[in-house]
Order: sequence, then structure tokens, then C-alpha cells
Amino acid sequence: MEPFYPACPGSRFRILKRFGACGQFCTVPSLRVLLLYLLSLVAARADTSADIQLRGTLRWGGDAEGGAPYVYHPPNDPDRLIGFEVDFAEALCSRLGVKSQFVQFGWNNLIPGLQQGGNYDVIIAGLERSAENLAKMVMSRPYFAFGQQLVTRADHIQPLHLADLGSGSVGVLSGSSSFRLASAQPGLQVRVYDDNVNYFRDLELGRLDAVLTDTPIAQVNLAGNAKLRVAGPPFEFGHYAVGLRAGDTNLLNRINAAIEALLLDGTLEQVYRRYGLWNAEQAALPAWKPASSELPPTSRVRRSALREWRTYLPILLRAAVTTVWVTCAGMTLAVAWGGLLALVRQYAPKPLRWAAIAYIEVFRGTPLLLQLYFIYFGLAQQFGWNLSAGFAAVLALGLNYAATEAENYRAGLEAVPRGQTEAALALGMTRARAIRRVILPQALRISLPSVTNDFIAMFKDSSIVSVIGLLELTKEYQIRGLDTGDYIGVGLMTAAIYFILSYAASLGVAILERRLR
Amino acid sequence: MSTSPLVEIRGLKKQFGSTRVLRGIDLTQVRGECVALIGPSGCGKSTFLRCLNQLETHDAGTVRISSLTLTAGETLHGRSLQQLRQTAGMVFQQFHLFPHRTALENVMEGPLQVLGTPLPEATALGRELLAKVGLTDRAHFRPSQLSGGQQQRVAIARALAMRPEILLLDEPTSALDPELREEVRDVLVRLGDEGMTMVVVTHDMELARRLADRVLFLCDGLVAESGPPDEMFTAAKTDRAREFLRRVRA
Repeated sequence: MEPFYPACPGSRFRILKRFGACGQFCTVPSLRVLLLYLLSLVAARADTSADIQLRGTLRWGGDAEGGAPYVYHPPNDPDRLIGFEVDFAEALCSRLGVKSQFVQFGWNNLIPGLQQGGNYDVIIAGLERSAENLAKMVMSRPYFAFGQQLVTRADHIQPLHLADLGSGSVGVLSGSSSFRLASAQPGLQVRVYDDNVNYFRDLELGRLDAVLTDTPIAQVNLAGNAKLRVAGPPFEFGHYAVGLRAGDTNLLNRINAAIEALLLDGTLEQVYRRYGLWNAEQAALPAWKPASSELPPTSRVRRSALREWRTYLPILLRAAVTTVWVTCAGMTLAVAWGGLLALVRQYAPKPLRWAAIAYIEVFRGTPLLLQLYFIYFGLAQQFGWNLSAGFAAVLALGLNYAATEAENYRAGLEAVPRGQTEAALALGMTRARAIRRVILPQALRISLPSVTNDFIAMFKDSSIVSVIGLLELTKEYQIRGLDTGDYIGVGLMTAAIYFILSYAASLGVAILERRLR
Repeated sequence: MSTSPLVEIRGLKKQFGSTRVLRGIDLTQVRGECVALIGPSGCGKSTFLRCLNQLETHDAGTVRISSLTLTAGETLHGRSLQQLRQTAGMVFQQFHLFPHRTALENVMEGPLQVLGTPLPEATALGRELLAKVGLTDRAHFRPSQLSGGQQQRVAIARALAMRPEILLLDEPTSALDPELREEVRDVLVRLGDEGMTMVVVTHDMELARRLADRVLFLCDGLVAESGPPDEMFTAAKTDRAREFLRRVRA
């Protein structure tokens, strides 16, 4: 099967079209305004349940990127959206008497997006009905039962459990219960991914020792894949539930009733059978009762990361170490390779010069993210060059920034007056010595401020390497922001670290510049 | 000292694209002689000078400087090119001092980098030459901290540090304010008195009068007239030279 689903822009267009259709419910705009006004008289706070009924659609947030079998675009028909959650949402909506409307949103930000900015009423995205998630939002009764599944390569006898991995590496989805479980295992190297596809690829390539994921994901991705196998039975069973905003009690009750009905009348059984997901755990869902200890989310206080800085600052600083070394190594490569490119472009014979120009234009003219994917996944797939994530990250940053650096140095070289070369040659120096002794020292002084700018820019750009599973500062911020719900507190600490580090770099260069002058 | 001329040039030609800049220049110069090249802008004076140390390569004619023969259309290589540049030192209109080095380091750069002179000797030579151009107290100044006249004197010292047999000077006083020209003229005249051979391209008639044994008037790529400065400046034979001299003096 095709393991890689690029986010499809078609889904967004479809959303817009559906927005257009929802106007049919109230043909006269002023009538709608009036209704809303009357409604606001009845309830102090607008009820999402009434909104949905008024609008005639339930907007549910999810992430179709690498979302099989939940929500995904099938490779043979990329304009369609399918998945067991799509079918579940359709069934749920038809019970509620409204249309179903999918809203694409990044998995990491689904929960904060529910509170604001997400433009969706509920989340249906394989959200675990965990104590952690219940602290952040209201959750419906379960619509699906899942377990944790360890996956490893077919040629591995061991491991059968997380503990068997020792100090090995395991890939997990960020913000998932797998992430929580793996992080709690001492000694284990946890690599965090933003989607459910790329860790399997890295596992195949030997970049990971195992993947810990939800059973449906393991099931879909292992089907027909002879290289991978499940390791041990599923464990840590849990439930997926619909996520709602706190206070949406009406909607919660209606959704709970609808789910119960769908479970009892066999609609969901049909859906899950269609995707090969029906099992004993799903059959037990109608009998589910909430634990008596479950507290409503409003009674829980949001955690303040600033107050708990002793916990969060070291975590962020550890991630900052990755940011710093990736940037320093990347910039070192960029400076060396860029310097060579600039010299070749400026002084080498024509064919070499053209090659340098082509390199510079291509690497400047294409996105860094694309280059990173190409180097990390593309080279492994095409040539079997199995680079480690750290190496690939440094390589991508270095090769990309080398193009920028080359142009910096060229500007520096060209800014040195021609007369300087002539004066050096007139003294009897060879061209090479003239460049080394006279041109380069002056060109470097001219280029230095731009190099500093690029260093600081790369420092921030390095956050992009989280897409290949490197846990750097911005990624850690996302994870901890999600954990605590305190985006401002964690954000302030993260920003402070970025600021202090980049300001220190500027100061360092300023001192260097003064010494060179 | 050998009696044969230091410089012998016959029928030197140079063109840039279709523009014929030099159309056949002859020059014979003995050791210790100072020749001034004057003439309207764009008549090829600087190009002629640059052909002598091969910053440009001439297209036709024969050139011999000291023991080196320059072939038309060919640039010398390796050691011979270095030897030519060492034999014929050059001073530029815009000085072209190395801005990232001090006055002393500028003077030492050639001996250290090209001749491989040990540091103590190069330093001693640098100080001696700075003293010669009257800049002992400016040894550790950067070019940007020096006046134009001082910079040009450092540039002369830098050229002398290679112990050249001949000095090529490309408008050495043209970039200077009038009151600063005199200090550069004094240095050059003193060098001439000490027996340095020089070819100076200049619009500075005062410099030509004080320095030159012979003045060549270049016009349209040819030597239109030549003679001792007094004769040339008071009784030029050609109309072009008289016209030119009247204009530069006005």
C-alpha cells in the first residue's frame, strides 16, 4: 500500500463548498440573525447544540495527514475522504439530523483549536478518553475501543514488550497515549512523529527499533507489509471518544444518546466490519459505564507551567540542546560548503561555475522542508542511503543554507575593489595567494553581518527538523503546551530560551567583528 | 652596471575589442632614467604602463625589461611572472593599500609573502622604507587613518620593498588634494635623485617637470613627440602637444 499521503488541498475546497450549502437553511440572512438573537435571550451562552441545528451541519475536526484508517484520502482516489471515523461521523450526524462536515486541522493542535480558532464543533480524531484529555475538554461515551500495539521488524525475535527494548528507540505519535507510555519507560529513546506513517518507514529502514501505536494504525500499516510484524499482544486498552467544548452539555447528551443507539442497532458494527476493525472489545462497548471517580472537566484547574518551572524548564532546555547542536553543525556545514561554492562561482572555470550557480539557484529556490524530506526519506527509498535523523537534519540545513551563504560571500567578494587584486598581483603574488591574503580577509569582514543573520535565522528554522522525529525546542513546546494547556507559560519559557541563545550568538559575533576590525 | 638599456620596447600594440588603444610605441630607457608619459585622457598611457608588468598583455611588438622578454599575446608564468612583477614595481592612482593591514604590514606583505623574507628582516626593511618616505611615526596606522598623501607614500614604500629595478607610477598624484601632492612629489624626486628608474604616467606637469629626464607625449596610441621637459613645456613642436599643454595649465 501507498504509505505516504500528502495533505490534499481538495478537502479545503470541499469545506468551502459545504459552507456555501449551509446558507440554504436560512435563505434570508436577517432571519438567521433574528433567530440567533432570540436564542441568545433564552440561553446566556450560545449553545453549540442549537448552533448545529440552526446551521444544519456538525463540523468535526480531524487530521487527514497519514490518517488511515481513521480519516484519509485513498491513494487510488485522492479527492475522496474515507475512513471509519468518516463513516462514524456520517452515522452520528444522520442520527442528529444534520449534515456531516469534516474540518482539516493539524493533529497537534486539535484540542486547543476546539476552544478557539478551529472552526469546528467537536473533535473526532482517535482521541483517547483519558484522564489527561478529560481534564482539557468534555468527552462523549466511547465509540471505539483500541489498545497499544508494539510493532517491530519481521526479522526481530525480540522484543515483545516495551521493557524488552532496553535503551533502544521507539517511534510514537506526538501527544498520543503511546507517547505518554513510552516516555514513562526509563532508558528508552522516544522519537516523536507528527503522523502515523513515517515512523513505520523509519522502522523498516532500521532507524527505529520499534513503533508503539494504536491497534487500528498497526493493523492498517502492517497489512501486506512483510517487513514489519506486531510484537506481543495489544495492551493498555482504551477508548476513542468525541471531544466537545466544556459546557456543551446539551450536545454531549445528544451525542451520547446517538452513539449508544448506533452501537445498539449495529450501525457501528457494520462500519467497523467494513474496515476490518470489529472485535470483542468493540462488541463490549454498549455495556460501557463511566468510572464513578470521573470528574467533570470544569472542576479541574489548568496547570501553570510557569509555577511548575522546575519541571518544565529542564525539559525545554534538554530540547534546546538538540536545537543548538543541529544549528551549530548545520551552520558549520553551510559556511564551509557555501564558501567553497562562492569561490567556485567566482573563480573556477566555466563548467564548474555553472554547476555552482545551478546548485545555488536550486537550493535557494525550493523549500527547506521539501529538501529535508527528500534527504531523509527520498534518499533512503531510492538509494538505500539510510541516514540518521540528526545527520539528515544537519545535512538539509547545511546544504540549504550553503546556497544563501555562497551568495553572501559572493556579495563580499564582489565588494572588494578590483584594485586590491591588481595591487596584490603587482607585488608578485599568484592569483590564489592574492585571493587568500588580500581578497578573502576583506570579503569575510563584509559578509560577517549577513552570516550572523543567517545563523539566527537557521536557529529558528531548525524547528523544521521535528518533522523527521527530532525532539527540538519548538516541538517540545508543542508537546508541553498540549500537555499543560498552558501555551502562554510554556511559550514564555520557550521564547526566553530562544531569545537568550540568539542574543548570545549576536553578542558573540559582535565581539568577533570588533576584533576583526 | 651594464651599459645596455634597462627597457627596450619596439612597436608595442594593444587593442580592446575593435578599439586600437596602442598603435606602435617605441621606448628605450637606460638605468636611472625617469620618463614621464603625458597626453589626453584615453590616449593609452595607463594601458601602456600596465603592459609593462603584464597586468595587460600586449598584442604585438617586442618588450624587454631587464633580463625578461615579454612575448606578444602571452602572459609569463610562475617564477618568470613573479620575477617581472618584482623587477617592475607599480604604484596606483588610488593607492590600493590593503585596508585590513597597518602601514608597516602593507610594506612587509610583499617580502613576507612573495620573497619569503624572514619576519625580523621584513620588519626592519619595512621600517627603513617607511622612514625613507617620512612615515616612521605612522607604522601602526591603518590606511583609513592616513591622509591621501601618506597613503600614497606607504604605497611607494610597499613597491620599493620588492627591490624593483624600475618603478611604474600610474598618476601617483592625481587622486590627491593639491596641497598633499607636494609631499608625494618630494619623495619621488628624491628616489629619482638616488638613481631609481621610473616610468610615470601623469597629468601633474609639476611632477613631470621636476622628475622626468624625458617627456613622452602620447596621442591616439602613438608617441607624438618626446623631449626633455623644459623643451617640451616651453617649445612643443606639434600642435596637439601645444594644445594639450595649454589646456592642462589653464
